[in-house]
Amino acid sequence: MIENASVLLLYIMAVPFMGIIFTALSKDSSLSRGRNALSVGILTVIANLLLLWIVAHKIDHSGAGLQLVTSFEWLDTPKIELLLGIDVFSLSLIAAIHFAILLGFIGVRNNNYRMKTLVILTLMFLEMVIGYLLSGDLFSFYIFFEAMLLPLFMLVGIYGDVRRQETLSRFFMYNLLGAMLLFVALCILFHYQNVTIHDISRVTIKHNIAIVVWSAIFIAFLSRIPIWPFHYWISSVNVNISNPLVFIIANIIPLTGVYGLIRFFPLTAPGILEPYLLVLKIISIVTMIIIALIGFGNRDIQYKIFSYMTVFYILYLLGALLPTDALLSNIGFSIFSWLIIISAIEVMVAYLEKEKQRSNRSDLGLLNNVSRSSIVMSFFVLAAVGMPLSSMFLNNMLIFSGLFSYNLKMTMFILTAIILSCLGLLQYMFYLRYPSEENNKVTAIEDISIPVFVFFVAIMLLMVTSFVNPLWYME
Amino acid sequence: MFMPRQRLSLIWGCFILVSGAFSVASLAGVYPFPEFSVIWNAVPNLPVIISFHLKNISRFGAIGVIMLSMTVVYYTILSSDEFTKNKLNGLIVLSSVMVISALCAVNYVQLLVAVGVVDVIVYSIINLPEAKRQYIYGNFLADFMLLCILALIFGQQGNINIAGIEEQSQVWRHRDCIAIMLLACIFIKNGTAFFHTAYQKMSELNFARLNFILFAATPLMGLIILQLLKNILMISQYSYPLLKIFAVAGIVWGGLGALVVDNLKRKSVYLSMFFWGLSLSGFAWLPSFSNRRFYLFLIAAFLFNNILMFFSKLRNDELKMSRLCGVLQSAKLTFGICIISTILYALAWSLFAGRNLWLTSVGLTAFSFISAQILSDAFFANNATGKNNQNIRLFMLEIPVLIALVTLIIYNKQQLLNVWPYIAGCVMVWFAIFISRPLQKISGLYCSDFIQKRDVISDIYNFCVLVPIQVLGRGLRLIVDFMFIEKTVIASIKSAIRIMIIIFRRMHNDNAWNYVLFLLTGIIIIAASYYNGVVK
Amino acid sequence: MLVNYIALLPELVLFLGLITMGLVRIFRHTSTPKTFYIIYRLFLLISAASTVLFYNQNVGEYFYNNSYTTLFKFLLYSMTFIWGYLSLKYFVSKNISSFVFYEIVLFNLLCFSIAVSAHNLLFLFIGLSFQFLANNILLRIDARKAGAKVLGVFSLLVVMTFAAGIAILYFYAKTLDYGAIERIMGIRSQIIWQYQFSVACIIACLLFMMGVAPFHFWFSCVVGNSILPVSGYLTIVPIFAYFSCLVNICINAFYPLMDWLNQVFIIFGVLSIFFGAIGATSESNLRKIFGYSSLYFIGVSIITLFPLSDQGVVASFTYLLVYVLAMYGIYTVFYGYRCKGEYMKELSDIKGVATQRPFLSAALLIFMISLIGTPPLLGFLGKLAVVNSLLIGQHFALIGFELFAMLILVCAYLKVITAVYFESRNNMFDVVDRGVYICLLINVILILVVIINPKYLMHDVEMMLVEVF
Repeated sequence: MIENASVLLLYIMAVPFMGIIFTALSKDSSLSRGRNALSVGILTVIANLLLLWIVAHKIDHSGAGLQLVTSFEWLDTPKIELLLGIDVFSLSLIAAIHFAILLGFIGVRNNNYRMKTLVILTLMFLEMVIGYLLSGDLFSFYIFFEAMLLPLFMLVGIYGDVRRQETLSRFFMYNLLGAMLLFVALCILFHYQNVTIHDISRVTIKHNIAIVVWSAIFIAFLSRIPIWPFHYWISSVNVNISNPLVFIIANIIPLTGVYGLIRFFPLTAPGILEPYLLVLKIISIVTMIIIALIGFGNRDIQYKIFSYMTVFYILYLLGALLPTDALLSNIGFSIFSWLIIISAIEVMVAYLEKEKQRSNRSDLGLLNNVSRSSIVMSFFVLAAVGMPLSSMFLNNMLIFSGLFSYNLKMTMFILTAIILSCLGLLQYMFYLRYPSEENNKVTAIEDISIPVFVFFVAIMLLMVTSFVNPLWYME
Repeated sequence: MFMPRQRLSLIWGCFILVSGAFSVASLAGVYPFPEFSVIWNAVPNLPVIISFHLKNISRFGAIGVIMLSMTVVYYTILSSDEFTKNKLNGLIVLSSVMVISALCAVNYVQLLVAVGVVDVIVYSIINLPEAKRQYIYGNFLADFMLLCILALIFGQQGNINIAGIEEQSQVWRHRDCIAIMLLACIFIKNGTAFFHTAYQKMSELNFARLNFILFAATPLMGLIILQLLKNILMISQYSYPLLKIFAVAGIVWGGLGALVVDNLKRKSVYLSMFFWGLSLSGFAWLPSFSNRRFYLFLIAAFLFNNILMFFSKLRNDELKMSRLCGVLQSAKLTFGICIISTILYALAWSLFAGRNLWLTSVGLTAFSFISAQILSDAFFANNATGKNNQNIRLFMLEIPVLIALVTLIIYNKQQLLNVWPYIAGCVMVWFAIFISRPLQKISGLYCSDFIQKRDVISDIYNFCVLVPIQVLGRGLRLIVDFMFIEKTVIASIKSAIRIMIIIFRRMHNDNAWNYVLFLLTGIIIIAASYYNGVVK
Repeated sequence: MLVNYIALLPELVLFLGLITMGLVRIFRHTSTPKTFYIIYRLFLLISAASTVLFYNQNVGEYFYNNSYTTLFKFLLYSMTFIWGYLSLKYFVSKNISSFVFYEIVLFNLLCFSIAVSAHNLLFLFIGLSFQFLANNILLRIDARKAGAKVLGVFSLLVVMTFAAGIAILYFYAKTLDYGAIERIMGIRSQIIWQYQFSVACIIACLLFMMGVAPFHFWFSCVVGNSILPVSGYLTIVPIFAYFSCLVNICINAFYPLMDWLNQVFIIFGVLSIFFGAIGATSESNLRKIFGYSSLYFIGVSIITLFPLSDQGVVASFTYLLVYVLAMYGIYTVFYGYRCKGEYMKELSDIKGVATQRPFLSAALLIFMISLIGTPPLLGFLGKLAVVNSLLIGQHFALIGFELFAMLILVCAYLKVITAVYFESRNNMFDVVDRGVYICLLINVILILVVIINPKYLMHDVEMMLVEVF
């Protein structure tokens, strides 16, 4: 038994690091085609999931604030103490990210292009995201916030099929700009008072500086979320990623922005921001509508998924910005399922895309005669659009309820955007299942293998379990 | 594994039938019904009580739903064109459980979950991609609206108890919005006029699946929602007029469709629309909504719809009314069953709507013309040369009608004895219509491609909703992404950096004067700083 | 008294090394590049050891050693030693004489040693001027004279200006000792414009030697056109000496004029940042890209340094150290990017190199990211120190400007990363020497590990640096 439970958090952070080392040392011959590296990656993620399970049993799910806190004195001048801790919300997100990456690994199992680098960079990213979600103080928060950019950039650059390098550079640049703004803002805050993230709004700053600081923090987090005008760069990068793992990772990045805003703007958000919050909300909703419309009108599935993800990210963001903390766990539980669902969809889309190219067919009716793929795709798309198959269903209802209580008209726009983005997904799925006469003439694509199908079924069961009880892993 | 597949499905089907019969018996009071409730922590800080306590309001509903499901299971067992009987029967059972769960709901969450799960089950039952697509589009919207309504109510009411509506709804905000959204949700689920495209696309499902969906699943859920949340309609002045308009629209459109459509399955869909139109009108105009009578009417309507299946089965699965070629002339037993079904329908409607005479009359008249026209089309044909496929299996299909008739007579013996002259009168009038065929010319429309093939409502949705949204989406991408961001913002930044680089390169070419210039600049900076820092 | 002269032992050893190398050159006809490296290494190590051993020995008031000077000298020795080791690969592979290189580098080290410990402007002048002039000889190795031509003319001009400044000061103040000059200038009524003019001359020369904008033109030209050992040396090593001298002279001699000098330094710093960032983005020559980015980093160091608070000095030094470590790593990587015996200079030459040399490319990536200041690499410590220091001084505009320029600089690095990682390879690269990997490994470990717990190291460095006050 582990005596000091807080050490578990360090273990959780150490496991991906060990995974990186083992992957780097793994033998990667032309015969193995990166299988060894991939196996190490998968085992690393599974090992961490088991650790997370233990953590889930160690923490009190009704308790407020960070638990299993562990600290480390990092620097004397300025005096910086790094703090790690966890709560149910961050636990849900970390677990979801692990599942998403596991799905991504399954999605790339047949790729052999620079697999070792892929696994190393993925584990590096995982390490940084875990650190970010466990951060309890200003500096560790920033450190991991910026640190995850490098593996992301490399992954997108190497595996992202981004033909226009300029686009990739712009993507990195504005993310870096956001990180820099956050850094300066946190440094200023730190100079006023060294506090943990939970107490951030207790810091009293001069009026003008406060506006600068909070605006910087706002822009920093928003730069990660595809809110206008940032959506353009994110979309131009995301839609070109055909590697499912990289796509999933690229789409975890907005989560970091949402998480940042959730952590920095709880109930106690500084009053000075009130007028700006309204502007943000308006921009968010306009973005939602525009992106949902573009996604609906666009034939490219990657854009549809991007549009769907963006709309939901903004939904969660707006839910988090409501003047109540009661919805936090709902947002967490909803994101848990949502991230896994969208990852599964992306893995399936990538698989179908590959099969499509292999069999030289169009998207039309691709899912006909492949029952396993069809079942998996249908389940996840239905769950994504909000059918009662995952914890998204009821938790989203409560988020909507919170939004309705705040502003009916605004919420109506939000719901319109959600409907459009969901219809976009449905539209694509039925395009894949369209019974075309031409399909009878061409050979059916190869269905997903039985082991992969079993894996997906396990994920489906996980989703249904999360619907029945989102806190299943704690009981 | 150890027995042939067909036998397994037979055993499984029979097991369901026995279980269903036991459930009906226990619901009817022969055996004690296991009532229970559990606390469900599906949402943090919001425990939901999942209740299976059958009050009077839901007892008849539960019996009706189970009986309908059992009938469908029975048809499925006998069906030769159903290849996944086990799966279908399982889904039917699950769906019935969820419908009963909705009937028992005392809170929004239970209702919402039941509605959502039924949609997923029905989605699985539909085995045609296009029908699935239309179904899920419509019902996704309906469920989403229901979710929003309940979210909106929960936000104001503070709890999820359905009973709270009556007490608190008067102080709610956005009442019209809530009521209209609720009605829209119900109309989509019911598949009433203008919302029926999803069901139209199901006309290639086999009869058992189709009739189960049309009567025992989604549209029924629509009516259950209406029943449970009826108090919400009170809060808006628009709700009852809207309900009435769409009920009438459903009757008219459904009735007309049932008359003019050639395809038997599409006819079935229109007949169900007609039925749900009648049900909604009953809800709108009747002083009180009797559950017992409604579910009786539901079963009767379901059985009446099945006569179209009989026609098809009699003529080797022919689906065109125009090609039935007087199918009933040589199938006297089936004809008799059809007449019984018609009488059952009319009786059940009269019982259901009996407290409003003009509504009963209108309903009966409309139904008489429709049923007479359908049966006469099947009976009198220009060319009665077709060969029927009358066999023992078809007779087995007709048994439920007889059981229903017997049940109806036993349970409503006294009432029937009181009104038998009226019944006899009605039957005579009906036969008069049947023989005289006043709407015979309508049969000519079976040849009209426009009516038989065009889906006008889908076209309207496509051109008025989908196409504008798609055009708008593409236009926005062009304007917002390409024109504004790419060509304006990014192009400006790029130009600025390019200009800076050009200037920088010019300053740094290998020219001695540039170096001198740099030196002078440095000296000037020092001098200027001196002036600023020391002299000033 | 005699015992104190032992403080000159390191310089004496270096001097002996120079003579020995000259003698070997004259009398040994079969000398190889390794011969001079062995002599260089031997004398350098002895000198370094004696520097550390006699770290607190002084020779009168003109030559002053303390922890501060020892820190810089130690860094100079370390960097020179390692760079000398790596440069050997170049001379061996090209099979050209390494005599001039090692001789001049050793000579420069001697000059730097004198300048760093100097407590008198004359020693400072001797140390810095001679080494600066000696750089002209370095640039003539391998017959590439484009950079030498520019530097040749201007180095003479600079040395003359430096000499003129000192002469004027001595003429009017009658002393060149730091302490005495500070005392004279501390009395406001005694300040005459001639003092200020001479200070301006001296500071301008120092800034010129550092290659700070707008006196940067020679640096990029020299770095871009000289051979790899020379360009690497000029980028990595001298900056420590200049920095040390600048801090020393400003704190101990010209402090009373800091109101004025602060403005000078900040303007020069800002211009360096701007030119550095734009210059790096506009270039396609690898060495020029990193040459200009050096300009950026020196600019940031300067704006952090002034006003001369202990916080500023520590922050500026930390930043400089981080920059030098990363830059040293980058130049080490350049030793590995070789195709058919030629060292790659252009971005187009190294396209897709990551597929063939993944570890080298990963190291390059780590160093560049460290230069940007991205956590969890050592560069973050530098960025943190700088921003923290500027915040204490409430220089919000400077922070904004620095970070804005950083974004422009990042464009240049992204071009490099794109070429290395994302483009398809068009060259077959030669096998990399094991020594390059060893040096890289040490450097990468330093950059990755020090950041985990920099507390103790930074504490000691801080203690050493504040001794300058």
